[in-house]
Amino acid sequence: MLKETAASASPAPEDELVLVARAQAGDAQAFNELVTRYRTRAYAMIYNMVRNEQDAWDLAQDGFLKAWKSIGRFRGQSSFFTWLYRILMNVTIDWVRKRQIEGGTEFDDTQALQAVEPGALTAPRAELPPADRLSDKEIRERIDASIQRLSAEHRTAIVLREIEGLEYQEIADVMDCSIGTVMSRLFYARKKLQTMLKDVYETL
Amino acid sequence: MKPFEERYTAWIDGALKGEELQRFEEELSQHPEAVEDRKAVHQLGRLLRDFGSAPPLRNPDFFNHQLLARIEAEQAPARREKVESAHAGWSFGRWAWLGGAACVAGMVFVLSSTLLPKAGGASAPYMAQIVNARAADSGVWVTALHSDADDVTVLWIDGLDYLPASYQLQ
Repeated sequence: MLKETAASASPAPEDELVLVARAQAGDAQAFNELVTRYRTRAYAMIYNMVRNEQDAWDLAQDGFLKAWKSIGRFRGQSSFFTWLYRILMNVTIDWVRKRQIEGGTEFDDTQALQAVEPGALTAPRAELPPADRLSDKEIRERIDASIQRLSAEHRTAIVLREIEGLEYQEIADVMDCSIGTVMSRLFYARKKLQTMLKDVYETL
Repeated sequence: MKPFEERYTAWIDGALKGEELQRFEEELSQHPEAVEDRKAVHQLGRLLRDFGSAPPLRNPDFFNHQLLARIEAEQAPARREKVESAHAGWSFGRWAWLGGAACVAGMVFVLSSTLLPKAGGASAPYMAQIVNARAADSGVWVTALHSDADDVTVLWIDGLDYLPASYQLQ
């Protein structure tokens, strides 16, 4: 479940609708109140995707600014956070894709998947040498590096499921794809992360 | 039947139920390593949740401040354009309107100078009616007032802001 509201599909609560209506009329202070409510959650979600504080800050700013510009299109059929969430995710996914192309490190899923047979139930041997006991900081750095090696689609699926705790349907709504596609992406994202982090989680 | 990856993911997440679960577990019975793998995926999930979560947002109030400054900066050019257009005298609409009003004024003056006798007291309202009926701009209305004693006909044109200096009564 999207944790900010009772259910992602339920309409926005009344006081929130008042703030949204004021923001739609051009009241920046009303929008500021909405930002205050959701900035922590928004930042965390974006950080989980990009694994860098400054990038997460900038993208959260960009996402909220985009939400301000398009707030007239919010109709209250879902919670405001669900609507905001989708905007933030789209901004972040676009950034991830662009970064991978510009950096020449576009993650070629077809290449990586050759090492992972659909029927393979155990993760292939770890690419990295076995880790000695790692510090918390080192563990976080390993996680950051591993997630950054995932494609935008696999990264989104695994972050939304394992860290954000969303259900399949919610992930499908955010990613605008079918539940089957979500589950398939989760399968391969998990396999890749298992390959990269096996030595870490096995020693904990 | 759903692809293997989808069923496997659902099985790992405990989302397979009933007959579907039974059938899949029969299929997995050929792969004893599957149970070990599910355990590994759960360990991975715990690792990501325990160590992969985001740090707190630093300077949250500054976050809002910076965002509001960006919103203000975005709105400033739009506000400037609005103010400029409100004070601008010569938008296209204004020119078109002026042209229509000028036509009406021109008709009035032509009629007054060529078609009507000099003393046209009784005919002044009639002239106003002609002009009003033929005016290109419905926002312009002409009223004619005549004074026999002063031998003067006044044409009162409503809705006309500007009259070119070259137009003169005869």
